[in-house]
Amino acid sequence: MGQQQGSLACVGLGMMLGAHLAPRSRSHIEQADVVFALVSDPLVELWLQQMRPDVRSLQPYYAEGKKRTQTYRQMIEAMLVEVRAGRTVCGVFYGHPGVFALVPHRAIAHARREGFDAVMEPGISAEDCLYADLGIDPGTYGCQHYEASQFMFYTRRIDPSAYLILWQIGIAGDRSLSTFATGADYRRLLVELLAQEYPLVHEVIAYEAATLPITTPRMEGMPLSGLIEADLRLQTTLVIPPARPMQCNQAMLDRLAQIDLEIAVRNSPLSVQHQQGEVHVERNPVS
Amino acid sequence: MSNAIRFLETMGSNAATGRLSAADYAAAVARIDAEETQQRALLARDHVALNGLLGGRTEMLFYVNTPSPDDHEANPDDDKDDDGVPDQEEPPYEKE
Repeated sequence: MGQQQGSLACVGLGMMLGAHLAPRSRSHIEQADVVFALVSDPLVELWLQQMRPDVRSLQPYYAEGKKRTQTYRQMIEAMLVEVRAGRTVCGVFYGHPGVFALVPHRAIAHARREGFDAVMEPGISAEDCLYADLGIDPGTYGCQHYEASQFMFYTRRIDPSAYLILWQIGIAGDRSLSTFATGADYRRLLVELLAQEYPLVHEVIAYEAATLPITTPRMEGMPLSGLIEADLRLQTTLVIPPARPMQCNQAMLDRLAQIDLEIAVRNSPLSVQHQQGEVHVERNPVS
Repeated sequence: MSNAIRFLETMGSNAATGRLSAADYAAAVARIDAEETQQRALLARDHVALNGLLGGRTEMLFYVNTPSPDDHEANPDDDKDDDGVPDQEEPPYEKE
Protein backbone atom coordinates (compact mmCIF):
# COMPACT_ATOMS: atom_id res chain seq x y z
CA MET A 1 0.00 0.00 0.00
CA GLY A 2 1.43 3.40 -0.91
CA GLN A 3 1.94 6.07 1.72
CA GLN A 4 -1.17 8.21 2.12
CA GLN A 5 -1.31 11.89 2.86
CA GLY A 6 -2.48 11.98 6.47
CA SER A 7 -0.14 11.25 9.34
CA LEU A 8 -0.18 10.68 13.06
CA ALA A 9 2.39 11.52 15.73
CA CYS A 10 1.76 10.50 19.33
CA VAL A 11 3.99 12.56 21.57
CA GLY A 12 4.77 12.66 25.26
CA LEU A 13 4.26 15.86 27.19
CA GLY A 14 6.25 14.63 30.17
CA MET A 15 4.88 14.93 33.68
CA MET A 16 5.62 18.46 34.85
CA LEU A 17 4.25 21.58 33.20
CA GLY A 18 7.02 23.40 31.37
CA ALA A 19 9.75 21.04 32.49
CA HIS A 20 9.67 17.95 30.32
CA LEU A 21 8.38 18.74 26.84
CA ALA A 22 11.09 17.86 24.31
CA PRO A 23 11.70 20.18 21.32
CA ARG A 24 10.76 17.51 18.81
CA SER A 25 7.44 16.80 20.52
CA ARG A 26 6.75 20.51 20.79
CA SER A 27 7.31 20.88 17.06
CA HIS A 28 4.76 18.15 16.38
CA ILE A 29 2.25 20.02 18.53
CA GLU A 30 2.95 23.34 16.84
CA GLN A 31 2.97 22.01 13.28
CA ALA A 32 0.01 19.60 13.33
CA ASP A 33 -3.26 20.42 11.59
CA VAL A 34 -5.19 18.82 14.44
CA VAL A 35 -4.08 18.22 18.03
CA PHE A 36 -5.76 15.82 20.46
CA ALA A 37 -4.75 15.71 24.10
CA LEU A 38 -5.02 13.52 27.15
CA VAL A 39 -3.17 14.92 30.14
CA SER A 40 -3.29 14.30 33.87
CA ASP A 41 -3.57 17.80 35.30
CA PRO A 42 -6.09 20.51 34.40
CA LEU A 43 -3.47 23.27 34.52
CA VAL A 44 -1.31 21.25 32.14
CA GLU A 45 -4.30 21.05 29.83
CA LEU A 46 -4.68 24.84 30.02
CA TRP A 47 -0.99 25.20 29.20
CA LEU A 48 -1.45 23.02 26.15
CA GLN A 49 -4.54 24.98 25.15
CA GLN A 50 -2.46 28.11 25.20
CA MET A 51 0.09 26.48 22.90
CA ARG A 52 -2.70 25.30 20.61
CA PRO A 53 -6.06 27.00 21.27
CA ASP A 54 -7.73 24.51 18.91
CA VAL A 55 -6.58 21.45 20.87
CA ARG A 56 -9.26 18.77 21.22
CA SER A 57 -9.36 17.14 24.63
CA LEU A 58 -9.98 13.41 24.80
CA GLN A 59 -11.47 13.81 28.29
CA PRO A 60 -15.12 13.82 27.13
CA TYR A 61 -14.82 10.22 25.99
CA TYR A 62 -14.61 9.02 29.60
CA ALA A 63 -17.76 8.34 31.58
CA GLU A 64 -18.44 6.54 34.84
CA GLY A 65 -20.05 3.20 34.04
CA LYS A 66 -18.79 3.19 30.44
CA LYS A 67 -16.28 0.51 29.59
CA ARG A 68 -12.84 1.96 29.14
CA THR A 69 -12.23 -0.29 26.16
CA GLN A 70 -15.05 1.53 24.39
CA THR A 71 -13.61 4.88 25.48
CA TYR A 72 -10.22 3.89 24.10
CA ARG A 73 -11.68 2.76 20.78
CA GLN A 74 -13.46 6.08 20.44
CA MET A 75 -10.27 8.00 21.22
CA ILE A 76 -8.37 6.03 18.60
CA GLU A 77 -11.12 6.50 16.03
CA ALA A 78 -11.33 10.25 16.69
CA MET A 79 -7.66 10.60 15.78
CA LEU A 80 -7.85 8.25 12.81
CA VAL A 81 -10.82 10.06 11.26
CA GLU A 82 -8.63 13.15 10.92
CA VAL A 83 -5.67 11.14 9.63
CA ARG A 84 -7.90 9.56 6.98
CA ALA A 85 -9.05 13.05 5.99
CA GLY A 86 -5.45 13.75 5.03
CA ARG A 87 -4.52 15.87 8.03
CA THR A 88 -1.34 15.96 10.06
CA VAL A 89 -2.54 14.78 13.45
CA CYS A 90 -0.79 14.98 16.79
CA GLY A 91 -1.93 13.03 19.83
CA VAL A 92 -0.49 14.54 23.01
CA PHE A 93 -0.35 12.30 26.05
CA TYR A 94 0.97 12.96 29.54
CA GLY A 95 4.24 11.29 30.43
CA HIS A 96 5.46 8.87 27.79
CA PRO A 97 2.85 8.01 25.16
CA GLY A 98 4.00 4.42 25.01
CA VAL A 99 4.31 3.49 28.69
CA PHE A 100 1.18 1.94 30.21
CA ALA A 101 -0.68 3.63 27.40
CA LEU A 102 -2.66 1.45 25.08
CA VAL A 103 -4.37 4.19 23.08
CA PRO A 104 -1.29 5.72 21.40
CA HIS A 105 0.15 2.30 20.56
CA ARG A 106 -3.10 1.13 19.03
CA ALA A 107 -3.69 4.36 17.15
CA ILE A 108 -0.24 4.19 15.57
CA ALA A 109 -0.66 0.53 14.67
CA HIS A 110 -4.05 1.23 13.06
CA ALA A 111 -2.72 4.20 11.11
CA ARG A 112 0.22 2.21 9.79
CA ARG A 113 -2.01 -0.69 8.78
CA GLU A 114 -4.06 1.76 6.74
CA GLY A 115 -0.94 3.03 5.00
CA PHE A 116 -0.39 6.26 6.89
CA ASP A 117 2.83 7.53 8.34
CA ALA A 118 2.68 7.24 12.14
CA VAL A 119 5.34 7.80 14.77
CA MET A 120 5.71 7.95 18.53
CA GLU A 121 7.90 10.49 20.26
CA PRO A 122 8.93 9.45 23.77
CA GLY A 123 8.39 11.61 26.81
CA ILE A 124 9.45 11.67 30.44
CA SER A 125 7.16 9.20 32.15
CA ALA A 126 5.96 8.83 35.73
CA GLU A 127 8.37 5.91 35.90
CA ASP A 128 11.26 8.21 35.06
CA CYS A 129 10.17 10.68 37.73
CA LEU A 130 9.77 7.86 40.22
CA TYR A 131 13.38 6.77 39.79
CA ALA A 132 14.59 10.34 40.24
CA ASP A 133 12.38 11.24 43.20
CA LEU A 134 12.77 8.01 45.15
CA GLY A 135 16.44 7.56 44.30
CA ILE A 136 15.84 4.14 42.82
CA ASP A 137 18.10 2.70 40.15
CA PRO A 138 16.25 -0.21 38.55
CA GLY A 139 19.60 -1.77 37.74
CA THR A 140 20.68 -2.12 41.36
CA TYR A 141 18.34 -4.89 42.45
CA GLY A 142 16.18 -5.27 39.35
CA CYS A 143 12.65 -3.97 38.99
CA GLN A 144 9.38 -5.63 38.02
CA HIS A 145 6.49 -3.55 36.70
CA TYR A 146 2.87 -4.65 36.39
CA GLU A 147 -0.48 -3.04 35.95
CA ALA A 148 -2.06 -3.68 39.37
CA SER A 149 -5.21 -5.44 38.15
CA GLN A 150 -3.25 -7.55 35.68
CA PHE A 151 -1.00 -8.52 38.60
CA MET A 152 -4.10 -9.79 40.40
CA PHE A 153 -5.78 -11.46 37.42
CA TYR A 154 -2.83 -13.52 36.26
CA THR A 155 -0.36 -15.73 38.06
CA ARG A 156 2.96 -13.96 38.24
CA ARG A 157 6.36 -14.95 39.55
CA ILE A 158 7.26 -12.29 42.08
CA ASP A 159 10.91 -11.74 42.90
CA PRO A 160 10.98 -10.15 46.38
CA SER A 161 14.70 -9.43 46.01
CA ALA A 162 13.87 -6.86 43.30
CA TYR A 163 11.64 -3.77 43.32
CA LEU A 164 8.02 -4.44 42.48
CA ILE A 165 6.07 -1.53 41.02
CA LEU A 166 2.31 -1.71 40.52
CA TRP A 167 0.64 0.87 38.27
CA GLN A 168 -2.98 2.00 38.34
CA ILE A 169 -3.18 0.84 41.96
CA GLY A 170 -6.24 3.04 42.47
CA ILE A 171 -8.34 0.63 40.40
CA ALA A 172 -6.61 -2.59 41.48
CA GLY A 173 -8.90 -5.55 40.94
CA ASP A 174 -11.43 -3.79 38.71
CA ARG A 175 -12.78 -6.32 36.24
CA SER A 176 -15.54 -4.09 34.92
CA LEU A 177 -13.21 -1.64 33.16
CA SER A 178 -15.90 0.92 33.84
CA THR A 179 -15.04 2.44 37.20
CA PHE A 180 -12.37 4.90 38.27
CA ALA A 181 -11.70 3.61 41.77
CA THR A 182 -11.83 0.38 43.72
CA GLY A 183 -12.05 0.12 47.48
CA ALA A 184 -10.76 -1.68 50.53
CA ASP A 185 -12.27 -5.08 49.70
CA TYR A 186 -10.29 -5.23 46.45
CA ARG A 187 -7.10 -4.05 48.09
CA ARG A 188 -7.47 -6.57 50.89
CA LEU A 189 -7.14 -9.29 48.26
CA LEU A 190 -4.12 -7.56 46.75
CA VAL A 191 -2.46 -7.34 50.16
CA GLU A 192 -3.26 -11.01 50.71
CA LEU A 193 -1.55 -11.84 47.42
CA LEU A 194 1.49 -9.73 48.21
CA ALA A 195 1.71 -11.14 51.74
CA GLN A 196 2.68 -14.47 50.20
CA GLU A 197 6.07 -12.89 49.50
CA TYR A 198 6.28 -9.84 51.76
CA PRO A 199 5.73 -9.35 55.51
CA LEU A 200 2.69 -7.22 56.30
CA VAL A 201 4.98 -4.74 58.06
CA HIS A 202 7.17 -4.34 54.97
CA GLU A 203 7.29 -0.64 54.07
CA VAL A 204 5.82 0.24 50.70
CA ILE A 205 5.55 3.64 49.04
CA ALA A 206 2.56 5.39 47.48
CA TYR A 207 4.11 7.56 44.77
CA GLU A 208 2.70 10.37 42.63
CA ALA A 209 4.87 12.47 40.34
CA ALA A 210 4.63 16.25 40.60
CA THR A 211 2.78 17.68 37.60
CA LEU A 212 3.35 21.34 38.47
CA PRO A 213 6.49 23.22 39.51
CA ILE A 214 4.60 24.54 42.55
CA THR A 215 3.80 21.08 43.89
CA THR A 216 5.92 18.25 45.22
CA PRO A 217 5.76 14.55 44.49
CA ARG A 218 3.89 12.30 46.89
CA MET A 219 6.22 9.75 48.45
CA GLU A 220 4.21 8.30 51.31
CA GLY A 221 5.62 5.30 53.13
CA MET A 222 3.32 2.84 54.86
CA PRO A 223 3.32 -0.79 55.92
CA LEU A 224 1.98 -3.23 53.34
CA SER A 225 -1.07 -3.79 55.53
CA GLY A 226 -1.78 -0.05 55.42
CA LEU A 227 -2.59 -0.24 51.72
CA ILE A 228 -6.10 -1.44 52.43
CA GLU A 229 -7.24 1.88 53.86
CA ALA A 230 -4.75 4.15 52.11
CA ASP A 231 -5.73 7.07 49.89
CA LEU A 232 -4.89 5.64 46.49
CA ARG A 233 -5.86 7.74 43.48
CA LEU A 234 -5.80 7.52 39.71
CA GLN A 235 -2.26 8.80 39.61
CA THR A 236 -0.89 6.72 42.50
CA THR A 237 1.76 4.10 41.85
CA LEU A 238 2.74 1.51 44.45
CA VAL A 239 6.44 0.89 44.98
CA ILE A 240 7.47 -2.20 46.93
CA PRO A 241 11.18 -2.23 47.78
CA PRO A 242 13.06 -5.53 47.97
CA ALA A 243 12.32 -7.59 51.06
CA ARG A 244 15.03 -10.20 50.70
CA PRO A 245 18.68 -10.20 49.64
CA MET A 246 19.49 -11.43 46.15
CA GLN A 247 20.38 -15.11 46.14
CA CYS A 248 23.49 -16.23 44.29
CA ASN A 249 22.89 -18.63 41.43
CA GLN A 250 25.84 -20.82 42.36
CA ALA A 251 25.32 -23.32 39.56
CA MET A 252 25.50 -20.54 36.97
CA LEU A 253 28.47 -18.94 38.70
CA ASP A 254 30.29 -22.28 38.59
CA ARG A 255 29.62 -22.64 34.87
CA LEU A 256 30.82 -19.11 34.20
CA ALA A 257 33.96 -19.81 36.23
CA GLN A 258 34.58 -22.88 34.10
CA ILE A 259 34.39 -20.77 30.93
CA ASP A 260 36.75 -18.19 32.46
CA LEU A 261 39.16 -20.98 33.35
CA GLU A 262 39.03 -22.43 29.84
CA ILE A 263 39.70 -19.04 28.28
CA ALA A 264 42.58 -18.42 30.68
CA VAL A 265 44.10 -21.79 29.88
CA ARG A 266 43.63 -21.28 26.13
CA ASN A 267 45.34 -17.90 26.29
CA SER A 268 48.25 -18.98 28.49
CA PRO A 269 51.68 -19.25 26.79
CA LEU A 270 51.81 -22.93 27.66
CA SER A 271 48.47 -23.57 25.99
CA VAL A 272 49.57 -21.72 22.84
CA GLN A 273 52.58 -24.00 22.63
CA HIS A 274 50.33 -27.01 23.11
CA GLN A 275 47.88 -25.79 20.46
CA GLN A 276 50.77 -25.77 18.03
CA GLY A 277 51.24 -29.44 18.95
CA GLU A 278 48.37 -31.83 19.64
CA VAL A 279 47.06 -30.74 23.10
CA HIS A 280 43.93 -28.58 23.38
CA VAL A 281 41.37 -27.78 26.06
CA GLU A 282 37.83 -29.08 25.76
CA ARG A 283 34.73 -27.51 27.31
CA ASN A 284 33.35 -29.55 30.16
CA PRO A 285 30.25 -31.12 28.55
CA VAL A 286 28.55 -31.70 31.91
CA SER A 287 28.76 -28.45 33.83
CA MET B 1 -1.25 32.94 27.19
CA SER B 2 -2.45 33.48 30.74
CA ASN B 3 0.39 35.05 32.64
CA ALA B 4 -0.18 32.69 35.54
CA ILE B 5 0.29 29.72 33.21
CA ARG B 6 3.29 31.41 31.61
CA PHE B 7 4.75 31.81 35.11
CA LEU B 8 4.30 28.09 35.76
CA GLU B 9 5.91 27.33 32.40
CA THR B 10 8.90 29.49 33.31
CA MET B 11 9.16 27.87 36.70
CA GLY B 12 9.04 24.44 35.11
CA SER B 13 11.76 25.22 32.62
CA ASN B 14 14.10 27.20 34.87
CA ALA B 15 15.78 25.25 37.67
CA ALA B 16 16.74 28.46 39.44
CA THR B 17 13.11 29.22 40.21
CA GLY B 18 12.94 26.06 42.26
CA ARG B 19 15.66 27.41 44.53
CA LEU B 20 14.02 30.78 45.20
CA SER B 21 13.67 31.79 48.81
CA ALA B 22 10.13 32.41 50.05
CA ALA B 23 10.71 36.17 49.78
CA ASP B 24 12.11 35.95 46.23
CA TYR B 25 9.25 33.66 45.20
CA ALA B 26 6.73 36.13 46.61
CA ALA B 27 8.47 38.95 44.73
CA ALA B 28 8.40 36.94 41.50
CA VAL B 29 4.69 36.25 41.93
CA ALA B 30 4.04 39.91 42.67
CA ARG B 31 5.63 40.85 39.33
CA ILE B 32 3.16 38.72 37.34
CA ASP B 33 0.61 40.76 35.46
CA ALA B 34 -2.34 38.74 36.69
CA GLU B 35 -5.42 39.17 38.84
CA GLU B 36 -4.72 39.43 42.52
CA THR B 37 -6.67 36.23 43.22
CA GLN B 38 -4.42 34.32 40.85
CA GLN B 39 -1.36 35.82 42.48
CA ARG B 40 -2.65 34.76 45.88
CA ALA B 41 -3.22 31.21 44.64
CA LEU B 42 0.29 31.07 43.22
CA LEU B 43 1.75 32.49 46.39
CA ALA B 44 0.02 29.78 48.40
CA ARG B 45 1.01 27.22 45.74
CA ASP B 46 -2.68 26.35 45.72
CA HIS B 47 -3.08 24.69 42.34
CA VAL B 48 -6.71 23.76 42.98
CA ALA B 49 -7.64 27.37 43.58
CA LEU B 50 -5.60 28.54 40.61
CA ASN B 51 -7.25 25.99 38.37
CA GLY B 52 -10.65 27.18 39.50
CA LEU B 53 -9.76 30.78 38.77
CA LEU B 54 -8.46 29.89 35.31
CA GLY B 55 -11.46 27.76 34.43
CA GLY B 56 -9.71 24.38 34.20
CA ARG B 57 -11.49 21.07 34.52
CA THR B 58 -12.49 19.98 38.00
CA GLU B 59 -11.92 16.30 37.23
CA MET B 60 -9.27 14.72 35.06
CA LEU B 61 -9.38 11.11 33.95
CA PHE B 62 -6.35 9.70 32.29
CA TYR B 63 -6.34 5.93 32.27
CA VAL B 64 -5.16 4.77 28.87
CA ASN B 65 -4.40 1.18 29.68
CA THR B 66 -6.23 -2.04 30.46
CA PRO B 67 -5.23 -4.98 32.66
CA SER B 68 -5.28 -7.29 29.67
CA PRO B 69 -4.12 -6.45 26.18
CA ASP B 70 -7.61 -7.22 24.90
CA ASP B 71 -8.41 -7.05 21.25
CA HIS B 72 -9.88 -3.67 20.45
CA GLU B 73 -10.95 -4.84 17.03
CA ALA B 74 -13.52 -7.06 18.67
CA ASN B 75 -17.05 -6.11 19.57
CA PRO B 76 -17.03 -4.11 22.80
CA ASP B 77 -19.37 -6.66 24.30
CA ASP B 78 -16.92 -9.47 23.55
CA ASP B 79 -14.25 -8.24 25.90
CA LYS B 80 -15.00 -10.81 28.53
CA ASP B 81 -15.48 -14.54 28.58
CA ASP B 82 -17.20 -16.38 31.34
CA ASP B 83 -14.12 -16.09 33.53
CA GLY B 84 -14.66 -12.36 33.81
CA VAL B 85 -11.13 -11.62 32.67
CA PRO B 86 -10.73 -9.58 29.48
CA ASP B 87 -9.40 -11.50 26.49
CA GLN B 88 -5.78 -11.19 25.53
CA GLU B 89 -4.48 -10.14 22.14
CA GLU B 90 -2.15 -12.37 20.16
CA PRO B 91 0.95 -12.79 22.32
CA PRO B 92 4.43 -11.95 21.08
CA TYR B 93 5.57 -15.54 21.70
CA GLU B 94 4.84 -18.89 20.07
CA LYS B 95 1.66 -20.53 21.26
CA GLU B 96 2.08 -24.09 22.49
